[in-house]
Amino acid sequence: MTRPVGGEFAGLSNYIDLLQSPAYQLGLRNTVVFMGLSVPLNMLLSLGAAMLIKDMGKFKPIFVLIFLIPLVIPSGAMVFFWRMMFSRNGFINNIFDMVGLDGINWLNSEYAMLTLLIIFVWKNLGFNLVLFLSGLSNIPKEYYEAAKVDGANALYTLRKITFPCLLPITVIVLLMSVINSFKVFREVYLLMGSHPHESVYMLQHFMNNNFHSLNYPRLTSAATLLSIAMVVITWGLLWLERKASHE
Amino acid sequence: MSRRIAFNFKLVLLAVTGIVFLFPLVVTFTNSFMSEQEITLFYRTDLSYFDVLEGIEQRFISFRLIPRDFSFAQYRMVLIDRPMFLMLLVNSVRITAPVTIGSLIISLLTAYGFTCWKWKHKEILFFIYIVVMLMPLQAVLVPNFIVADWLGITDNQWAVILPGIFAPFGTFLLRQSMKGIPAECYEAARIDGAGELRVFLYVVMPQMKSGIAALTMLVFIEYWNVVEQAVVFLRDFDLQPLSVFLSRIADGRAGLIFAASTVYMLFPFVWLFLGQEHLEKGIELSGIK
Amino acid sequence: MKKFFVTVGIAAMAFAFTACGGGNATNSATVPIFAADDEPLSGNLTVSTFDTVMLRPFLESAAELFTEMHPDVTITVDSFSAPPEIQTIENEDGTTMQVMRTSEGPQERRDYVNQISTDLMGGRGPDILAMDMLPFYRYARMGQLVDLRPFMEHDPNFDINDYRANIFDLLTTDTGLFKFPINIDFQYITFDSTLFTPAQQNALMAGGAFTIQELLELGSPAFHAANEEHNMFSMADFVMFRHLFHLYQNHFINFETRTANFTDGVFVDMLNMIQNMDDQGYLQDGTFGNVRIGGMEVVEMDRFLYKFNPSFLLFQEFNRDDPDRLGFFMGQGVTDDDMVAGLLGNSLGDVPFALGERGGGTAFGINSNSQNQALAWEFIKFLSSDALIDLAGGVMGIPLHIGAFEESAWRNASNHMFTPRRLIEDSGAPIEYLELNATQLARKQAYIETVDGFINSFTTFRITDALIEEMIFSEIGEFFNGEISAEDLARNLQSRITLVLNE
Repeated sequence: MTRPVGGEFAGLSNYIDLLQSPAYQLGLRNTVVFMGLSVPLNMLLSLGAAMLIKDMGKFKPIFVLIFLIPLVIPSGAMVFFWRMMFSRNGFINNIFDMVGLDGINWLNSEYAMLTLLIIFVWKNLGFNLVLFLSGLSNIPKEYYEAAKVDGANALYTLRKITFPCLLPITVIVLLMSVINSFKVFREVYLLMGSHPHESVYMLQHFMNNNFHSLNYPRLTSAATLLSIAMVVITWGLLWLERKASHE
Repeated sequence: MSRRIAFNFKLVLLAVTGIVFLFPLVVTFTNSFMSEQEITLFYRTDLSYFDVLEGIEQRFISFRLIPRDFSFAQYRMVLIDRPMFLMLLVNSVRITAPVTIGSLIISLLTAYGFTCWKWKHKEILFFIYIVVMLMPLQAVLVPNFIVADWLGITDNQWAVILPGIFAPFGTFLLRQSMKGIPAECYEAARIDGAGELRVFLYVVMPQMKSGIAALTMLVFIEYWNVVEQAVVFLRDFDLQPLSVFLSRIADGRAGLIFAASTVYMLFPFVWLFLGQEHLEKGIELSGIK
Repeated sequence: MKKFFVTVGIAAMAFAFTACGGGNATNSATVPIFAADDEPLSGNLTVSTFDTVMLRPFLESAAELFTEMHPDVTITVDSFSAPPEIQTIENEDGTTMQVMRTSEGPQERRDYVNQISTDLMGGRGPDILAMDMLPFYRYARMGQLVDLRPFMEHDPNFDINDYRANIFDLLTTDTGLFKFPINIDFQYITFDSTLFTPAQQNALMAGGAFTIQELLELGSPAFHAANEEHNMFSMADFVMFRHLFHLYQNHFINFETRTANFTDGVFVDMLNMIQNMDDQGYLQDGTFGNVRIGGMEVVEMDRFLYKFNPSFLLFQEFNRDDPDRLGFFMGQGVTDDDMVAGLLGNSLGDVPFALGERGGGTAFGINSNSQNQALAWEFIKFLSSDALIDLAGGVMGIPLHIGAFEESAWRNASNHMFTPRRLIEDSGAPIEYLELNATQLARKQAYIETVDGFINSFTTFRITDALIEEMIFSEIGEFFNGEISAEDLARNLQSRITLVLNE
């Protein structure tokens, strides 16, 4: 009988079985795709927002508050709202209809990934925003002034001053974004159930469902592989960061 | 002059984005003042008899921002008519409060150990902390369950509270904050003969205000929102927190969902409002390596 | 570098520990130990069920009776715990009523399965599991349920012939028998004799199972002969889909090989056929889940060519002419001239039956983690025996214990629906009160024969997976609303269900 403790040793067979399983492959692919899309997207947008906000003076705290609010709103409270927005007869399709476009099936088609990205960015923009704002404010003004004296234009300043100075903080933002991109599972689960459309079926779904099927070998194998991946990623990021801060 | 234009342009852009961001919140808040009939009327997509008569083929949902009849009925239902709601709220507090306070204490002490002491293998251990922190909930739930079973607490709130108290995220955040304190401060105190406890309480703690505020806020939000662990460990509904109830209600009882959501959101929101400044500082400091 | 090696080392250790395998899923075939006849039974049992409306009261009464007979035994009945809701319902006269209901939505069901799975994982869990919501076939596959065959073979107090052996045979797979059914529920077909010619009626009463094509063939001329005034079937399109899907489920989903088969054209054909039936007016109107156009009054006064009725209505077919009949369970529409045709079969000659979903019949299994398997077995035997009839809530479905079934037939025939024979005997009522007169006896006999015939005609068991059911039936609504095409739906279901089967 398969139980988490007291099983028999089966060597690598669990892992081979796992890697060959189409469900695992699907989950892995989707998780990687989602992370690959959401993390850069979130970072770019929050960087852009940070650059816009940093000069807003007295409006700054207000805008920061606005962008932070989605972070504190619990997922359960928003699910109903998201459903009203994204279902076939929902608000967004309503607008499409008024403009004369066909409605899109936001929740149960290839577009589900897009829906997820929207929800993810909405929720997590504020977190990265604050980090970037602090990073931006740490860049000494003298650099900018020196650049202006030398006649540099905006693009040049951006490339040569802003980005390099932001590198350390970018690494942290990256790390935090990866953590947050895992947490999106809750929204997907509440909105689309335990077996969503195949374009958004992620590793967390795989593990969650195996938990319910009492399939511990699969679940723990998947979790171990994930830990190994995390170790490699973390180590890589920290190495990158150390290299960057030496410059 | 062009500065002015640039400023205004940015302002407008941000304002529009801000409205989009706030939209869900505003809708939830204003809709909480609608009567139940209005909501069920509005948020159905099924065709009624009359629709078919008029040849309408599809009904869309549009959000109502201003209720037709302003009414407190939802709030009354939520707060008074159904006392179970208050019980669920209390359960949420019963989980969140110990986690917040406990994790604060533990994280402070642990972060202190990591920052202000030198010992072998410190970095490796911290590295492991980070890896564990990165693990998604599904991977961690099974080991949690095994340990909880071993401790015999699988059917009460401690199974949710204890993992929260000992979660590595707090240590990570506070360690980053603590690194901002120049080493000379506590070196000096030690040389003066202060014991570790004193160094901790009088040198390090006063400078941690932002970090502490940030941590309490983030932990509070995370555990106010707890769903998966609560479902696994808390069977009796008189132990369940509000977050679990709301996750179920999304399936159909639209009548009181807006008011329930608003009340539910109120707590973290108030916290955010009060501690916003500190939160920002805290997040900033976690970025400084 | 050192850091790297250390972490890799830790990872390798974790790796080794988690490489524990599934071993073999079968339990060791030791002969179970039964209590000697003269030893009193003792121990603790927990029984778990999701349903709080019917199963829980039934189990609680059973537990009470059992513990009266065996004072050293305690039985706890667990059910899913969700906050009850107080709902205000308006009566027709304008007064309001407050009703307490526990909610049973899909999330609650998922949470229940979640809780049980967690318990089982911790090596614990209730001793007896009710089949209503749980994925028994998955548990059996994982070795989590006890094979009941050794118990059945070696228990001197158990005789398979007290029950319907063919059902047990159908439930036994190569690896064993894991669920013990105590009652069974199915759907049977009736036709309205005023709407068919005598020749057609003879065909319909010829016995055996009918495929949907045969029903259509016989029904179509009758339909047109009645100027298309009456629907052929008393159900709407999505209900017809449910029946047909279940009928052909073994073609679409193979739980053994873990494959799904929606894209070979059969599924699309089926959907198109139902659409066609709807277009021709064979099916009742109704949009998925919504207000029926025309309202309920139409349904009550209308006649239908065919109806699919649940088995608890079966006795009503035999006592129509009885002035004393208890008539609170009514079929749909006008039922005065209905006659029983038979069961629904598929074109491969199979007549499937199911357990566990709402109304499919109740079964129980024993948890492999249980420390009290022999005691659990005793309780399950008790639940299925004729003592069952005495319990609160009466009988749900047709009991599989032959003695219990005959008792229920007696009750129906004598119109003492909820009074056990024993109680009447004890109350000192005159003997004549207990005996059935000739007409009643005839009715009872006809009923028993029909049920026997039906149950003996089952050929396969259909596994129900609540998750898959939910998935299919929520998506099918989109098809009938015209929002998605049959091919797209088939493709969607194919990918999702393959995923579910193969995780």
